[in-house]
Amino acid sequence: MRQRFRHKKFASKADPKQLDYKDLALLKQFLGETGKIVPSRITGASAKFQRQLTTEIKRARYLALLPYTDQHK
Amino acid sequence: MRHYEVVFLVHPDQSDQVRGMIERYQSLVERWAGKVHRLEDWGRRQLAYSIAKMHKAHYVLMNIEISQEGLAELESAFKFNDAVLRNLVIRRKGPVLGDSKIYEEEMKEQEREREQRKAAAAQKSSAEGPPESQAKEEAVQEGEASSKPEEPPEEGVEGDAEVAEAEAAASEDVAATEGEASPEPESPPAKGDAVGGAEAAEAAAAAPEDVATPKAQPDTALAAGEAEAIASEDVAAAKDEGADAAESAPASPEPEAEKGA
Repeated sequence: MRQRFRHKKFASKADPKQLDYKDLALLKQFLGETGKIVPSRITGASAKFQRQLTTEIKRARYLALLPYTDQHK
Repeated sequence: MRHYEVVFLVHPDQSDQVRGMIERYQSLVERWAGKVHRLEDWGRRQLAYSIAKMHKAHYVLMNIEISQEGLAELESAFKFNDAVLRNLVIRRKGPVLGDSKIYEEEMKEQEREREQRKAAAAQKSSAEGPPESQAKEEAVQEGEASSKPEEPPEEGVEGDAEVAEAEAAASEDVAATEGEASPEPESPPAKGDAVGGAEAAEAAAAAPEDVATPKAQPDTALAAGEAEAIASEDVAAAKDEGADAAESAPASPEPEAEKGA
């Protein structure tokens, strides 16, 4: 059996429509240690939420509000 | 007429021209019979990664209502302005009002800084005599750096000139040998997760500066008591070994952190 890490339903808290690239504290919850977006199968986010999350994280990354990776510099 | 959210990053050296730029873009929007619904100046922020070898940039957010032709002109204005490092335009369904999260945080931070500055000023006025130069340096370092490395030299200058000297020599060596020598800030990564590790790494990056800055203070101490230079060299040699040990130490915590991941 493969070990499952976090299996929490963060997603139920936030409304996907209100996700915003400026809400860094929320977006950071869905980033892994290396700055990657954590798959929804691990976070328990719904597909809709995950889609929205992805675009918002990518916007934040473009504006250098979030890192693409931990290897920068 | 559509609603857009515009964010642009301005070169940090052109930070003082941001006001003029904002006015220009505002007038551009108004010329196209548009409207600026929200305007936020986030100030100079640390970038998550360097853009054009810059680590900071001045952020401005605008929520506007403008025609497509007007937006095209705005975008070309961004394109041909060398001070604008990057810009993002996204469509919104309606006018967005109210402060954004980042702006709120920025305001909070500014308040905190103001309070800190007040506290620092109060400390400066209360502190008398010898640690004048230190007080200034402390004021500069406050906010960014942890106070740990500053404390020992402070005691040294106030008390024994010898001790100050020894520490000065040691700190110089530490600074010279390798930036990451100080073991104190390096230890956290062992226990913390990767996020904590990243923060600790930043702290470690900041630490050498702290270690390096005390140089200035004990230099005066050195001038005062040159006779003890030999003794301090011995201490420096001893501390050098310590620094080497410290260098090898940080290598071990990192693999552990990776294992944890």
